[in-house]
Amino acid sequence: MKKLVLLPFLVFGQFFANAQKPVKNIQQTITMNLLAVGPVHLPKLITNTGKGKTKKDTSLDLAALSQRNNMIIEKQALDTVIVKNDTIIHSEGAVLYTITSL
Amino acid sequence: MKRSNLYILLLLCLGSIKGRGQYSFNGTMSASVSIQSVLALSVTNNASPAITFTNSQYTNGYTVSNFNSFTVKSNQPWTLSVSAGTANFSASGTYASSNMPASVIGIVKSGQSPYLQLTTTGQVLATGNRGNTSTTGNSFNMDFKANPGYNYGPGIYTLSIVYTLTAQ
Repeated sequence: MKKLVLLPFLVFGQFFANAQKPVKNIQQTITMNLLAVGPVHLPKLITNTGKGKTKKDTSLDLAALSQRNNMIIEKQALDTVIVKNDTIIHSEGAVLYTITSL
Repeated sequence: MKRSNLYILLLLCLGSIKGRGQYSFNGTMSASVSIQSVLALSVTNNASPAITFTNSQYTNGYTVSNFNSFTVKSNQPWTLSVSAGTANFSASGTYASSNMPASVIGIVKSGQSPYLQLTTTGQVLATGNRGNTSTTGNSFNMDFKANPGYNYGPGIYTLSIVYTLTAQ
């Protein structure tokens, strides 16, 4: 008699198990570290007068910064050109340093 | 031995012979086997899920080929969907932006295009047929791309990606 009582539950359980679409879920967590980024240091060269840093000063700065493990230094050469009437009247090289803190 | 005892012995022998003759059986039995749905999904992360951007990656995005490997075992045709656990990244840090959306993450089945930009709504990453992991299409890789650009502040950002395997 007890088995007869259980029978409807067993049948319904089978029906329920087959009626539901089986689903498996997996969750993955990703982490992104975004750093401060951008040009933060553009050394100015002294020619003869005025404030700024000489090439030697800049070299010393870079040497000191490069010793630090928490910084990335990228160097980019730029050409500054002044054009007048389609003629280059002045050109000067400059260097853009991009320093990224880690 | 008395005659009556001989009769009894004879009857017992006859009964035994008749009884053995009745044990032969002919009939048909039907067997019923119930096979349940089987779905198994395995994900292996081939690259570190912690990503640190370098300078050029802010401009071009951070791309990792074969970021994940998937294997599926199923006795039904299947669909693998992907969604973000939340609409935005969880951000921490003084300058972090709380509005970086999950859509900065793009994923695609390796060898296919375009990248699917993540949302909280499931998108189909791959489909396949019944079979084990050696069945064509049941083992594959996924490429990953993150492209926040310069639009969000420095900080640590976390997002959950949910992979859902269902029977078709």
